[in-house]
Amino acid sequence: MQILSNSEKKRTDIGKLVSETPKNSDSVVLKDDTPERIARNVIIFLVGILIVFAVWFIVAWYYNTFQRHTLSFPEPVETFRQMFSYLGGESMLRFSIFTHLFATIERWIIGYVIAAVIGIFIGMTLATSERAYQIGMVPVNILQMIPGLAWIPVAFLLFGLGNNTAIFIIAVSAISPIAMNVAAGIRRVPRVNIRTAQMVGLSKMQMFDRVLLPYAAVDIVTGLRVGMANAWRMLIAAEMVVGVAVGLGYTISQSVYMLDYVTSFVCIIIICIIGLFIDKVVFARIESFAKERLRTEVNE
Amino acid sequence: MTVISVENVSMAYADRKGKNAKIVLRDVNIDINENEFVCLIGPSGCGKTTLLNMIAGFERPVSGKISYRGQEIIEPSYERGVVFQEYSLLPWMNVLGNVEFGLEGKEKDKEKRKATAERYLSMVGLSDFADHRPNLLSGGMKQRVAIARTLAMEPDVLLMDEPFSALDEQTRGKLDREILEIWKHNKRTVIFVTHNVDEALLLGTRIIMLSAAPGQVIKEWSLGDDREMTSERMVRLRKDIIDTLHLCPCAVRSVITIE
Ligand SMILES: Nc1ncnc2c1ncn2[C@@H]1O[C@H](COP(=O)(O)OP(=O)(O)OP(=O)(O)O)[C@@H](O)[C@H]1O
Ligand SMILES: [Mg+2]
Repeated sequence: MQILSNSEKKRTDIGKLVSETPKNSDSVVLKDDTPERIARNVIIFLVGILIVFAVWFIVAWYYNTFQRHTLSFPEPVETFRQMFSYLGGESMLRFSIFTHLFATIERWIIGYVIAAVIGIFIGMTLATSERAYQIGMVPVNILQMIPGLAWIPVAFLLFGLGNNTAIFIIAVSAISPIAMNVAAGIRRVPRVNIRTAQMVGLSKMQMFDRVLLPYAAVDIVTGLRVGMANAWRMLIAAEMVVGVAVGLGYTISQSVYMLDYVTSFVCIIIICIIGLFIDKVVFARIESFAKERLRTEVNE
Repeated sequence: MTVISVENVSMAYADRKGKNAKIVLRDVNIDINENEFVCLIGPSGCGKTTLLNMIAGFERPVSGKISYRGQEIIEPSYERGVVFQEYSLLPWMNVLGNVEFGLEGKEKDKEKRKATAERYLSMVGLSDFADHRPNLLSGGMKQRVAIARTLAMEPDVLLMDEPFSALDEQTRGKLDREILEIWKHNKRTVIFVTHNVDEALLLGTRIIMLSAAPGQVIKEWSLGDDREMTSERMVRLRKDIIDTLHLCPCAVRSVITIE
C-alpha cells in the first residue's frame, strides 16, 4: 500500500478534479473541507490537553502516595471542583474570583497600552535613520536584558508599593520587543517602495501611513504579541511581590501563605486559560489578518 | 528647449568600510530636449541606474550639477516619473490601487484618481486584472502596472530603467511597441535605459552610450523617424553601435582578464 503525504494527496485530488472538468474551463472548484479540518484540530488539541492532565495527575498521585507529609498535592478533579465553586460565587480571599480577575486584566491593559504606545513610538523613531537606529538600539537592548522583577527597586523608588508599581513593571517588560519589531519591520521595507512614494510626492507622515506601517504590519503585530506575552507573565509575578490587595497573582501568593494550595492552582489555571485565549485566539487572528492583507503567505 | 541638463556630473560610492570610494560616473555631460526619446545604453554596472536615480532626485552627484528646466534637482518630484528596474508594486494593494497610488501626492479627489487610474490601466491592457493582487501577476504584467502607475502621474519627464530586462524577447518586443505607441500619441521627454541595442534602435530618437565604470559618454547617435530595422541606414547604424560597444574600454579589459 502506498502512503501519501498530505500535500501529495491534495495534489492528486486536484489532478482528478482537473481531468473531470470540461476542457474549456480554466479553474476547478475544490471541495470545502472545513468541517474535517476543524475536527482534526479539535482532536489534536484534546490530545495535547490530555497529556497535561496526565502529567499533573501522575505527579499529584505520586506525591500524595509516597511523599505526603501534611499537605496534599491538589488533583485535577479537586481543583476544577473548587474552580467551579469560585465561579459560582464563593468568595476567594475576601472578593469574588471575578473581582480578582478584572483587577488583573485592568492592570494588564493599562500597562500594556502604555507599553504599546511607547514601544511603537520608539520603534518608528529608530527607523527614521541609520544613525538613530544604531544609537537607539543600545538602550533598547539594555532594556531587553533587564528581567522584569529586577525593576522592583526602581519601581519602588518611583511609585512606592502598590498598583502603579505593578503597572510600571508590566509596561517596562513589554516595551523593548515592541520597539525592536516595529523598527525591524520598517527597516525591511524595500528601498524601491520608499522611492516610489517619494516620487509620487507623499510627505513623511503620509509615507508612514501609506507605505511603511502597512509593510511592517506583520512585524508590528509580532512585536505586540511578544510584548503581550511578556506583559502577561510579568503581571502575575509583579502582583505576587509588589503589594497589591487584589488580583490573581496576589491570590496565588496569599493562598500559598495560607497553605490553601487548591486556590492557588485554580488561579494558575485561569491565568493560563486567559493567556492562551489572548495569544492563540486574539493575536493569532490579528496576525493572520495582517499576513492576508500583505499576501506574504505563500499561495499553496 | 533643454528639459534635463547633466553638467560635469561625477558620482562615487563609498565602500562598506568607508576607506575607498568607487567612481561610478565621471564628468558626464548630457542635454536632453523637449520630447526627445533618449536611450541610454552601456554595459552592466556602468552607472545607468545611478544616473537615472540622480535625474529622478533620489541621489545627489558628488560633483557637477543636474537640472530640470533650469532648476537644480535636489529631491524627487512627480514631474519626473520613474519606472524602476526591479518590481516596485505595493503587495497589499490591488492592481488598480497601485495605479491610483501614483496620483496620491498630486490629485486629492478620490473619484478623479480612480477614473484616471482606470484609463491608464486599460491603456496597458490590464483592466481585467484591476482587483488582482500583484503576487498573482506575471513579471511582465507587474511591469505594465508599474508603467501605468507612472504614466497616470502624467509626468513631464519619463524615466524608465530597463523596465523589461527581466522579460523574454517576445514579451519585451510587444511591450516596447506599446511604449512607442503611447509615446507617439502623447509626446513627452523620455529617458529609457537598456543594454539591448535593438531595443534602443526601435525606441530612441537618440542613443547615448556610456562606457564601463567609471561611466563616461563615449558616443551618441541621432535617429530619424525611420524605424525599418532592415533598411540600409539602420543596419549600418546597428553595426556601428555594436562595434563601438565592443571597442569600449570595458570590453578590452574583460578580454585581458580572460587571458
Ligand atoms: N548604493 C550604492 N552603494 C554602493 N555602490 C553602488 C550603489 N549603487 C550602485 N553602486 C555601484 O555602482 C555601479 C553602477 O551601478 P548601476 O546600478 O548604476 O549600474 P547599471 O549600469 O544600472 O547596471 P545594470 O545594467 O546591471 O543595471 C555598480 O558597480 C554598483 O555596484
Ligand atoms: Mg541598472
